[in-house]
Amino acid sequence: MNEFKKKKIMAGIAILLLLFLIIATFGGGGEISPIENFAGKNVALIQRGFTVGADFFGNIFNPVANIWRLDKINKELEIENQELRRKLIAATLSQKEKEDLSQMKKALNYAQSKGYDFLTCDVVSKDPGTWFNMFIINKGTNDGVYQEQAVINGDGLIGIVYEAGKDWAKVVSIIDNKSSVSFKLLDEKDFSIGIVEGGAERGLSGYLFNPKAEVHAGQEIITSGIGIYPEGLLIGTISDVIIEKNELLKRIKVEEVVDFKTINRVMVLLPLKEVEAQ
Amino acid sequence: MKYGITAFTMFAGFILQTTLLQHIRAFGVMSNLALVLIVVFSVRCIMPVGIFSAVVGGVLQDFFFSPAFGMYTLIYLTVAFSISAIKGSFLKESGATPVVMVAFATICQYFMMIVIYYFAGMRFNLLAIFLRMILPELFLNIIFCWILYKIFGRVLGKMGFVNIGRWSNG
Repeated sequence: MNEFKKKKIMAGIAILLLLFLIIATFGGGGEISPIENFAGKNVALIQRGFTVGADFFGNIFNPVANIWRLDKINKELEIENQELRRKLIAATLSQKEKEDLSQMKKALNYAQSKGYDFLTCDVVSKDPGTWFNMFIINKGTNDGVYQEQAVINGDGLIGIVYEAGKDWAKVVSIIDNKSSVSFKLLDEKDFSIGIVEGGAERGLSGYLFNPKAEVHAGQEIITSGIGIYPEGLLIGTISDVIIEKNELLKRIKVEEVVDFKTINRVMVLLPLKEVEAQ
Repeated sequence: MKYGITAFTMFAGFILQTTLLQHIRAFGVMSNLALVLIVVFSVRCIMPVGIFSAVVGGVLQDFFFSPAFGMYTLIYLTVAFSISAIKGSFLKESGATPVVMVAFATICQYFMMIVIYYFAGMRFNLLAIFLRMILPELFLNIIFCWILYKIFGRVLGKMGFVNIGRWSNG
């Protein structure tokens, strides 16, 4: 057998082995192996140093690089600010505003009421590809972080812990291809529920189970509590409603509230039992 | 020694890409430094070095960011194998070599990902993937590869990483 044939056979064996590994491990979400744990812990240390340095320089240079865009955003914010001021004055005496504020307070404090506590974590590194939206945080099972715990920040829902090592964990964001979240409309009257999913296209897309639901662009959606995410976490704002006559579902496009490209610090929701146990 | 340098380069590339390069994006997309380095190694060096760079880059990404272990390794290995196999047959080394090879590598990477995900039950809008992911990444990868090939390729040459040719085991 000549050298060329030998290499072709070796390549074939390698491909078959890798295909077997891919099929066996697809979906992941299990426990992190001791080898991964060791590698992850040490690599995360190096990555953390680089991330801090990169963020430092990024904070200096990004505003300069984006000066034209920032000027445009500034003008838009000015207009939005004026509009919000008008709305605030108009709504000062309204009962609805009181209820809205109470709703916001509920949303902000919902963690305690639902039996959760926060654990603040730093983002150590982010997915090197464009296909997935995963990142690594610097807390793991030693700190009470386990698989399927929700991850949030001040803006809203970010994602879920995918796998956890002792001192680090992988988080998969809601805009990732394999993510899906059960939601309900943030509405006083209509609590219709549905599913939003991440995808290759930017933003989230999904559908409402109730085709008669009164839904419109600009409405906010929160987690419904069905499935792995706790109830009441802000997901995003509906940007488009698509009604297809042949389907019995109302399809929606959602603009997420969190800017996933700039997250540096996140909070993992821990059940209070685990916090007390620690 | 050669393999040590290759492993270190791939590791440094991985660290840079998951931290520093996150700030350098075009249309929300960033260059795939691991793929670019594999192309440079595969074009400039003998086949085993190209393959080795693919294994290191693939395993690192599989460890930390892959939904299935082995996916990136398989993709990068295919890229390294293909480039090592075709470089001697179809192209004489020139300024266009890294550009053509990295374009091929980027398209090959996305094609394999789409196939794997299709069989995993995922459905997607191919036009959106092409316009929003493949095109910007292709553009960035070409720029990065051209620069790295010019600078890093020379360094590799001086360090004794010699390109012997098609299917050579050096």
